[in-house]
Amino acid sequence: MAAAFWTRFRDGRGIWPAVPAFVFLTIFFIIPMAVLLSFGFTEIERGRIQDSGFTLRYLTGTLQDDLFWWVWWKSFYIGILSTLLCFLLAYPLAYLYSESGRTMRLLILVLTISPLLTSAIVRTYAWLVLLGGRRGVVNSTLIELGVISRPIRMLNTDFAVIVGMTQVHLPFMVLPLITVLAARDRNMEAASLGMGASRLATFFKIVLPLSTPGIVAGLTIVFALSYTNFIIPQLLGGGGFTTLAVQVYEQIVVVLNWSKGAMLALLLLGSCFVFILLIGLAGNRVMRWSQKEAA
Amino acid sequence: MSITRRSFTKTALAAGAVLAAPSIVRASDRELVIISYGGALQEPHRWLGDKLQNEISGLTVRLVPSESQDIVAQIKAAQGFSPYDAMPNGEPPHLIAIRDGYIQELDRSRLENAGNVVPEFWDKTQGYGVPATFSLIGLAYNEEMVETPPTSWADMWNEEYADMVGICRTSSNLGLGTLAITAKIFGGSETDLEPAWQKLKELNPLAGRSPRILAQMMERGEIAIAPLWNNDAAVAAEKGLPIKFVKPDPGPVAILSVMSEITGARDSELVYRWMDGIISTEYQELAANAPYYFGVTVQGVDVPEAARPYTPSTPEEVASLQTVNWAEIVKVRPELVDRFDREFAT
Repeated sequence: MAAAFWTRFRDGRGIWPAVPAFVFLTIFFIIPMAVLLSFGFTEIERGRIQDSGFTLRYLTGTLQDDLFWWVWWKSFYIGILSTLLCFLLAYPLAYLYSESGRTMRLLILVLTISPLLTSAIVRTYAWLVLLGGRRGVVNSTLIELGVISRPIRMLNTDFAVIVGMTQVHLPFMVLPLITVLAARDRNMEAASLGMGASRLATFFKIVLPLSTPGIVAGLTIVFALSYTNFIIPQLLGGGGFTTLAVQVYEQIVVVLNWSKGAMLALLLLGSCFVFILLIGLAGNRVMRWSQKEAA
Repeated sequence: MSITRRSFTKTALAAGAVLAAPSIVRASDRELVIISYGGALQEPHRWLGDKLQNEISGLTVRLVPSESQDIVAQIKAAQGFSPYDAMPNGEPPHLIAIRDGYIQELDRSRLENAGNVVPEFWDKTQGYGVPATFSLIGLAYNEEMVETPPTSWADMWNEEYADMVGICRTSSNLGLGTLAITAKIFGGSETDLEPAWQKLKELNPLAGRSPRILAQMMERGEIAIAPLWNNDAAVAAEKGLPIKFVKPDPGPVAILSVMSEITGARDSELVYRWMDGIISTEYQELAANAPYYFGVTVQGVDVPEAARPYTPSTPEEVASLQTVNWAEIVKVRPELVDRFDREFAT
């Protein structure tokens, strides 16, 4: 028994290759996160945990607060809209990649990955230049072309936040879709076309179901990034724009109410997990349904 | 030449020692870490830092440009092991810092320049830190967008500026000052801010997340007029932007900035040297000049001609300065931050 255990350990089989990452994540992510979230169930005064013990005050107070639900809805709506926009823009691009030759593939890949070489903050600042006020590139161009006479307010609106998030998160949707679409089994499409199905029917009945794992991965990543994003709403939404992530920052850093901030962080994290789970479950259902259809 | 295991080890150790040497040397030196302002407003601090570095052998003065609120969260989390030594605070966060115990009481006898300070400013420090400079909250406007410049606080509600007014969130001193002065001019007070909320809501304002962002919104022409710090307006005007500053009737709001030693600072002697420098005539003359135009807190420093649009330069202007009972505001600060979202969240 001991010899078998030692052999497995020495050969790096079983769970052993994952141990360094597991230890690292436990020490530097799971424990600090658990400590932070536990603050939501304690009273903290002037940076110190009080002896008053466990409390549900922050949970009930937050759940009964209209502002919380309003902010939650705002975070969800911004997250879901930018995720859907990313999907609608990314899928045709990924499909084009899967159908293209080497040069075009390289070009698409470079265009997709190159924004990731600069910081998301820098890219978000670029939107300030493009959308910002009278001096913004968009407004000044439209005025010069005579399309509008007065500048349109684009910055500090939902529009600016959604556009910024879509642009910043687009590569995270494109890359999983490219991976799945480029590796799909072409024989099934050929069989479908050979049996008289139209290109459109083949796309919806064969290609789209086959790309479900990429869609689920892309939706999951982009939704999680958008729903919990802090920087883009801060920079492009203006001082009146608030999301759950912004509220967490406000409570912990500005108001110094760590307990409320921790509770909001817990609710943000928990609801994000629930949505990701729902996206995964929906993806599984779609895959099972398409397999059944194919059979 | 052949490389043996021994020669390789020796070379590696020597290379490691050479690479590590600067940090070992640095660790044995003295370091002062000061929270500072961002951008051009940091320059007076940089000047003082350089001066101290020249005077004290082996000293490194590191300035950390940051919003004080971000730093406060770090100091609180550090539980007495703050990575920073001194910080400037406006009056509201200064009172919070005293209450929460993360700044040290001042021993004035350790300061050579203590006698320079205008005595009234010492009262405002409540025995913690030195009165560094003061700034004004007035009205700034974009002269390309505004035909009739404002002259009073009430002008913000003029029809001409409808939907072009910006205000700062109440998480900042600027936002709190705006709320307090609005309450005062519309029949309220620091303990009755309701009139201010009603009047500010009437403006349908565009909110800025911080004073700096509000100034940038005006630079980009997203707003035409806003309550703003005199220093931010001066720096923008100095860059050639069409931003003007007025001291509105009945008077601009004056807020003192206090430089304090953070509890648990590593080298108290150095912090006192720094604070002494802050209230020196040389430093104050520099801070009062272009493009910073900080209000001076020591006697014998004249207001430069160029600073007159931004700072009070006559006894009448000094008398008109509006002060706020910050102790009352600080008591309800969390509620005011929360209320801002309830009133203005979009």
